[in-house]
Amino acid sequence: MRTTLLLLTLLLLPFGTVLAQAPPEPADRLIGVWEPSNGKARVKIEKIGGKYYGKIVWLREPNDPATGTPKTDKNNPDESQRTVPLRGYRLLKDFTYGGNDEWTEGTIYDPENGSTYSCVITMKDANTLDIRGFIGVKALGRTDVWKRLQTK
Amino acid sequence: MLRPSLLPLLLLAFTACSEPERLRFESGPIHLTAAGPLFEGSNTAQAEWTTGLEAFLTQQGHSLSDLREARLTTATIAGADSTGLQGIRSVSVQWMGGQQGMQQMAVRNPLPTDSSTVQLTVADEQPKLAELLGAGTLTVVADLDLDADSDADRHVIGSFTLELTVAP
Repeated sequence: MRTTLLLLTLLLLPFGTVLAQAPPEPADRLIGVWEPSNGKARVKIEKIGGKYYGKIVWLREPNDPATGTPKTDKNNPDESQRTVPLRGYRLLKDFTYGGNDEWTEGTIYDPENGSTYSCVITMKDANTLDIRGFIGVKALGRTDVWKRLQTK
Repeated sequence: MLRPSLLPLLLLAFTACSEPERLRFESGPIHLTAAGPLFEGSNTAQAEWTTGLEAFLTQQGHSLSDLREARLTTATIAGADSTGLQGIRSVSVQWMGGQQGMQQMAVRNPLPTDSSTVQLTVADEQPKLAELLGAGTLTVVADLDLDADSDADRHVIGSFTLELTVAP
């Protein structure tokens, strides 16, 4: 009986190891820490309630030079929320995976002018994202290239 | 045929009857958890909130389809244990649910030191909150800005009061 159990365990072990090392589902490849091309910030993309969100986790200049205090969302169109800390701010919101390495239906917020744009994220390779922000028509927009911080 | 003197009275009665009703709706305590390990800076605490709004409106003699408008009026965050809100520098709360995207709802930055309960500043702009509540279950997210790393989970309790406007 013990020999049978041992054999069974040995047989199943490689299967279990393969399961543990299985790659993440395609949509979850977006999860990680990314750096925009200007290098001013680092954005952690996480999954909340089945959608993808990106929050600022690091700022090259964390403090407002005018006040010396940590930067806040001072350009938010809603004045009541201008004290939300910029470090921790969710600037990518509500993305869903649309297949073909594209995450759609989301928005990107530009804290430098307080504007929100429609946005599509395209994964060019495991460590590179094209982040395209636009108003109305996707063709009329601007693309920024983000790099994964811990390369795979 | 109506007598002319009765007409203004009837109009007044009709207007009074069709005034929308305002109801106060309390969330009760919502237990939010940020799963450790946690790092200095912003950490995400979250909870699923089954609002019970439909049952509440039924109790009040209404249905969900009567809901015209909803507005968050107060938002409170409290510590869930003896540590209170110690080590938390600021709190920012968002809600999401159904087809509605994530909405910024309230913030407090900085938190008073050594506090165990704080009232947050509620957002002036609360677009499509009635539709969001209509989803029945919301994800409540609280970004906790911590002053140090920690291996343990962190728990806080959110409590929210809403003013609902319902059709008569």
